[in-house]
Amino acid sequence: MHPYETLRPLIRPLNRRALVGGTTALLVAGSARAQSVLGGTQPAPVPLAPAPFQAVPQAAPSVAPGTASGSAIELNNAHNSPIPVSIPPFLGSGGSGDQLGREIADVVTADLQNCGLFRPVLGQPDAGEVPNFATWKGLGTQALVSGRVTDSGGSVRVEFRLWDVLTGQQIQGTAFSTTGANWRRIAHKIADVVYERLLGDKGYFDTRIVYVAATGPKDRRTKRLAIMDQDGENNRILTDGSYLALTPRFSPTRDQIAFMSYANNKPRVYLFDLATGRQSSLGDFGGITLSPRFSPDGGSLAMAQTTDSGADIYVVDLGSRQSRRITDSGAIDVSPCYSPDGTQIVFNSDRGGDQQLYIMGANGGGAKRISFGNGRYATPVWSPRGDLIAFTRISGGNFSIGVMHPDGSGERILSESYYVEGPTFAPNGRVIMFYRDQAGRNPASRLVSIDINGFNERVRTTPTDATDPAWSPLLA
Amino acid sequence: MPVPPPPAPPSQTSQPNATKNPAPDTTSLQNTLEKLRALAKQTQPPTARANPTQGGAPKLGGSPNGDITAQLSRGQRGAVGDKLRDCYTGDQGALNVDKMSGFMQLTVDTTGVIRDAQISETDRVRMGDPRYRAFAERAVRAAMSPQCSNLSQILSKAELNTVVKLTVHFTP
Repeated sequence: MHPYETLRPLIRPLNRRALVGGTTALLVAGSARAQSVLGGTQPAPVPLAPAPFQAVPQAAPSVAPGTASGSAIELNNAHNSPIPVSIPPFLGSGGSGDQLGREIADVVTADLQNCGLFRPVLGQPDAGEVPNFATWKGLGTQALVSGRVTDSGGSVRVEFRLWDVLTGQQIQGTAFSTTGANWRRIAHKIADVVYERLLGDKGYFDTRIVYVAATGPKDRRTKRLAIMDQDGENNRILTDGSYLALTPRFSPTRDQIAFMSYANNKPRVYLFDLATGRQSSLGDFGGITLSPRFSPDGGSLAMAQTTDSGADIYVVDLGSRQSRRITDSGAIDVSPCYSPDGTQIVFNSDRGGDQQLYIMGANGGGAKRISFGNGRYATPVWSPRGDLIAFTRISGGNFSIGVMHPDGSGERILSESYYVEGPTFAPNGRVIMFYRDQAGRNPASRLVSIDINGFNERVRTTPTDATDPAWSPLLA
Repeated sequence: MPVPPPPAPPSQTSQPNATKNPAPDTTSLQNTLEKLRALAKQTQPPTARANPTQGGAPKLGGSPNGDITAQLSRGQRGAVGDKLRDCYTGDQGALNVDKMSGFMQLTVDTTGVIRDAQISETDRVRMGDPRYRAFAERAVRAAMSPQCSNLSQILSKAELNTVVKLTVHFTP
């Protein structure tokens, strides 16, 4: 049976239609079990000290256009193809340094390849300080990442340089130092630097994903919070599964996660501190609280709270824990999400008779509908760069993930399936992750990422079924 | 009661208000001039700029700076654009990329191969924006790519006699 069909009868207590995302939590209350919530411990991140090299100076260009634009040669209609880049193994100082050099190069290569915007070109490292550009040109690469690893017992220093092969110039050079155990973060940081230098946007490789790890039989699922690096490594379970945990969201400023927990059979929003592993209720506000989302400054949290007539959006000040109601439509208003500048909130509501997306000021009021396509819309998420809102759409029995501009224009469907839901943006706004339930003999829930232009759809490997992904900000 | 006389009008020759930072010898013309120069210190960048349509030395033929773009036929310009396009890649996901454009100048050697590609001076100031820089560098990489930098089949023998420059307008 289609999941939506399963959910439909269960929403009658709210006398409304099925809400995807935050309200889904309400529908599974019956299967919640008593538990003690166990928090994992998160080691304090070891700071990486970037030490910029002095870049090789570029000769000052001295040309000026000598031709009026009307007679210039026109270059347009660019191909949307990945940039060929070579990341040969980083040179080590022998022994473990060589091995580490290979592993770091492999992680950088995987990061760049998996984002879909780079095409790795294999090659061997140059022995000298300056690469042999003719050789690399011959291989068809345009950018070269070379590096050197110094492994001195407990600490690792990695120097790397990014070269423009076609002009034969160094365009970036940086060194990182950290503990040996933290070498993967160095690799992600190098990939971020390469990404930013060649594409102009910040990278997103040194980030993490928090999600809900689901195990057990279908009628008695155990749902625990879990966290992993964006590439699926360093997977850790955060809660012990005694209670259902749903819809986790990262704080933009602290090592903290807001999520919905059924602890003590009271579905409420909780906060999980990643540094200590402790979790605490955000507060008892009367009704069920759900679909939390931090404000961009991290000082408050918007969430939905059930009322006699449905659900409204509330904002909770995280300092005083005082809540303030900002919608009062008598309808079901859920899934709030702030604009990156914190001045607006997008949410979904059935105030117009059907579940649609609305935008209002961050203090409430002036709600304006922005979704007008066929079907119902849910789980809106504002892109960190402000240009798009991602959503789940339910139409004709199919689920899809799409994006639209904040004024409702330019709607595009990126992925469609039997069941997809819960989009989250990478911190640079270039990639969306969501989860997909696969139908068939071996049903499974998987995390999937896709470029905002709808290409490079990739399934992320997780040890268990996975739902409700939330992307962290860039790590400090 | 006698009415007091109205106040005298301000003197046109004296200085009623104390000067800020007076020069030691205010009677010195040199000091006054230096002070005026200091006050008139330039705070705006110069507005003078190169005139791209200045023309060349009269009746001597050639082009003012070796740029032969205007002398190429429309077909030749289109062919160069087509050649570069094969190596020209874009990034549809970049924010506001559809509004970006720029000029670059290519230096072509006597064999018809592009040896250098430089973003125009007017667009170079925008290279501080990482997104624009990434966009413009894609155009430069297309021109410098070995697969697309040989224009010998497009340029005529006369044009291949000397090092020439070409101006390219690039848009997404």
